[in-house]
Amino acid sequence: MSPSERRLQKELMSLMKEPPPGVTVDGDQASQNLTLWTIHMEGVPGTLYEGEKFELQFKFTNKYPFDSPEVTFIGNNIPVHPHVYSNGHICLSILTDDWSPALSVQSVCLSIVSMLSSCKEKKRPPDNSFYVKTCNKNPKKTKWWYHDDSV
Amino acid sequence: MNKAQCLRNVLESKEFNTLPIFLKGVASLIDGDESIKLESISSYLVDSQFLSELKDPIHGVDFAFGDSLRDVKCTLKDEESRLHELYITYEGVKKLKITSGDIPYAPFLDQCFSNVEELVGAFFRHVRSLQSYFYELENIDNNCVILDPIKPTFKDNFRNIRIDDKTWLYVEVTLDGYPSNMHLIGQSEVWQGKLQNGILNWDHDKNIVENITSIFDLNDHSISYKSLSEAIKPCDAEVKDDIICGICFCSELPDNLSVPQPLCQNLNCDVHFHKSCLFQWLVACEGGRPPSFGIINGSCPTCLQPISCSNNN
Repeated sequence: MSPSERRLQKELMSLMKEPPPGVTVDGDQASQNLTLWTIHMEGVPGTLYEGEKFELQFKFTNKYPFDSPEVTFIGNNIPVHPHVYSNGHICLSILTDDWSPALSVQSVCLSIVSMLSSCKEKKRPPDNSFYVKTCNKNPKKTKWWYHDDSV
Repeated sequence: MNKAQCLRNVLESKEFNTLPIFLKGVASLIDGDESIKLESISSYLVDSQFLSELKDPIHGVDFAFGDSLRDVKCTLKDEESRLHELYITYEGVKKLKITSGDIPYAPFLDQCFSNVEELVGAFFRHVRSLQSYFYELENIDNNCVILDPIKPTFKDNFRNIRIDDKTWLYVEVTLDGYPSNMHLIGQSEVWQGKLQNGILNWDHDKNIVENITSIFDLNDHSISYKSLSEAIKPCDAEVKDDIICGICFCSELPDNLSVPQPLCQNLNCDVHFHKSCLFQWLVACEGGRPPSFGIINGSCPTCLQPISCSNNN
């Protein structure tokens, strides 16, 4: 087993055993293909996303954790949020520039939950329609410009 | 099939792969028949001279067969009653090779020997010259808490000694029994001055452990140290499992024996890393360019404070 598989296996076990609130991993799919995970996420009660359900997709390369995972929202319900494009791409610095191998699937999920929870107004990013038309399929290929840290 | 033929079958059969089972097989054949002697058997595996050499006891040496008659484990007792294990392979008539032993590498280990006595003699001569090396390592192992290697043997010429929760002392022992390349690993600011002073005032009449305990003022609790570590021995394995590398999330690496170390200098950062994992990450941060002098700087993956790492051991 390669180092990346060893680590993914460990992360999968602990995420299935003790998932953070509102987060569940599709264990069957992930154990069949360790490099592609689907994670179900519920909007936190008391926030703008209460009662909503989202799906997150994680893609890993064999360089993980030295290389960050490719994380996008998939499915019918993409959260309406100033940092989430309607094609599912997420503008979050820890997914590219600020990635560190000390981060994990769990910590990325928690960052996304907290990003959603702290949202004050449901709206798409200002450049949404232009970005969605012109972007690469892989959000990691985008040169993100992190406009604000407040949300 | 005559009895000699049966005996040859026993010698060459895979079923008789341990010494007791093998001897039982031979005994059942020889039983009551004085005409067959072990020496009269020739086998394509080993020659009778080799077998008869193993039959004649050499003082302080025990032999046991391994997977086949060609692989022999010798247990040797040196003058100080230390037991050493040496694995030898029979490669052909008058060709004996040492496959592994519990001593650091020495050129004679690569030599080819014509008989067991010659090989054992060379080993004893070498071991005699290593007495101070063994003594110092044994003393460290008996008096200090060793964090790395996990199972220290005489083959490892270094020890990582626990000074406190976040500080390890690395020391290498030369074949003459002198310390070398001593340095601190981890959040060592408090101890750094002491180590530098201590190295300048090293007392060569005392052994390594005595010097270390006086350098770091461990005098009072050096004994409690060991007894403490023995007291927690039962859960030791558990404790070791808990220390995982902040990068690969494992405690053991598949390809090397190193353990996660407290490499971050930030006193509030509790994370351990395998040196090789941290090195790989810091090199990746620099765009994959390996550092010119073997030491790379960057920031800790966990707390983002400055951290440095070398790629040796």
